Amino acid sequence: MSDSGDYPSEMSFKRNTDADIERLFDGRLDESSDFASVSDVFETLRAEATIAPDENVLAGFVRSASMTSSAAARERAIAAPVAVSTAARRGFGSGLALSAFRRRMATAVAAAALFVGSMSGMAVAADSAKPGDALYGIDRALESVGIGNGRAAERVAEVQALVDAGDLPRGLLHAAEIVKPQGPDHSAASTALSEAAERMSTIGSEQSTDTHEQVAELLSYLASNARSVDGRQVAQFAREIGRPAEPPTASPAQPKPEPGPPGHGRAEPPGRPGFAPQPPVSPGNRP
Amino acid sequence: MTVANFDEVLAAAQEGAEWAWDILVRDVAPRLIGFFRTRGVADPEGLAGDVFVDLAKNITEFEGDESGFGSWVFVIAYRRMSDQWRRQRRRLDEIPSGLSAEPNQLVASAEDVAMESLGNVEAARMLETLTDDQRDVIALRIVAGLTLEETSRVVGKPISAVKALQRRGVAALRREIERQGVSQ
Repeated sequence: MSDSGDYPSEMSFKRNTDADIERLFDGRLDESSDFASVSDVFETLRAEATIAPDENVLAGFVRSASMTSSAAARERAIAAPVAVSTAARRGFGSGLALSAFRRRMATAVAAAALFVGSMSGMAVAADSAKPGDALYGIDRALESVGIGNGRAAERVAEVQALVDAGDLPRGLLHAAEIVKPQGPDHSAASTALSEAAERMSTIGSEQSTDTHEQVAELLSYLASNARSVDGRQVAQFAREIGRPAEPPTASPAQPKPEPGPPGHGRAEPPGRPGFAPQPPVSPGNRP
Repeated sequence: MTVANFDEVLAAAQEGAEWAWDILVRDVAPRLIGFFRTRGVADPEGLAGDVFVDLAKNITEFEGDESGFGSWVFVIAYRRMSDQWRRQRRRLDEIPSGLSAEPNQLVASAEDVAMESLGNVEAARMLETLTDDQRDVIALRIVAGLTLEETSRVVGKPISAVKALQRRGVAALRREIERQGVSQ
């Protein structure tokens, strides 16, 4: 675009007129100035800015602006954005150094609030997750830093949820994880449970009612004794899960046994009489 | 701008308080509409309404004082106006060649109508002798009431360039006044 209206001697004009032009724009030009004639045009233009718009037009502006900003504020409250001022980045306003400091502080505070808010919300959502759910990893990670209950009962409930969903293999694998950290004797139980899980995977959907009952009994035991599992007995029981019941060896001297109910001949589950862990010996019942 | 307790008003406007917007709108709207009118926008009130919606959407991002707010408003207004003209020219470029109107004539006639709505037709004609850039700078300085630095931010040009545009614009106006004086 060409700038029409240049004076031929623009350099000298420039040197002498910048201050005058600033006074002209500020509306305090001396009447004797070369630009006095222009000031009338400027006054006419300045009057344009003093014409009050129609009241209805103004009311419409106010209504639409307040509704739009209310909606934006609600969205902001929901999304908790870490907003960095575009305007401030571009340097609008005075006191830019202070503004930059405030902006950084606001960003840090907003980020911390976002973190805390999202962690608490996520902890609530993740706490009910079971293994395999998208939030389960988060549930465990949060528990590892003390967020969420993470009690043994919760772990057992997770196993139960998997079993209820028909996923016996993963339920058993999860049970193996629960048992494993309880002591050196429990690694055998954990291994046995993992192997049971593998057998379940092999059997697939053909898992029998009997197998489900075995797992249910195991769960019942784990629920009651989550913190003091008898590793040896759990291992023994787990080894029987999913195995076809071995028929008792028939002795020629003995009569042929009657066919038993499903599960006949398997190991007694832990928790049944004779398998339950002995109660700790208290001074009162010491022999 | 003349808003008392600007920080308080801004914070309330950011939350959508109608009373705060009433103060801001009443302060800004006359200058905004006057600027659009001076710059030949065909529907100054309509475009000002669009600007207020833009302001409301983005006001939570604004940080700064009253002066910064004023230049922020006109940055948005200036972009809106430029977008509108770009769209208008694009639409006119798409007019089939069989139609008689030339695109530039149509744009010019829309601006003519708007310019004639200025309170003083003579002043409007004076401005027509300026280039678009010179008119932008003069309208922002005189009608919007922005400082040299604020105007530089709004038009996205260095201060030295804005000074040069002012100088040339004023020179052109003075020459036009002298020419009219001679011819009368």
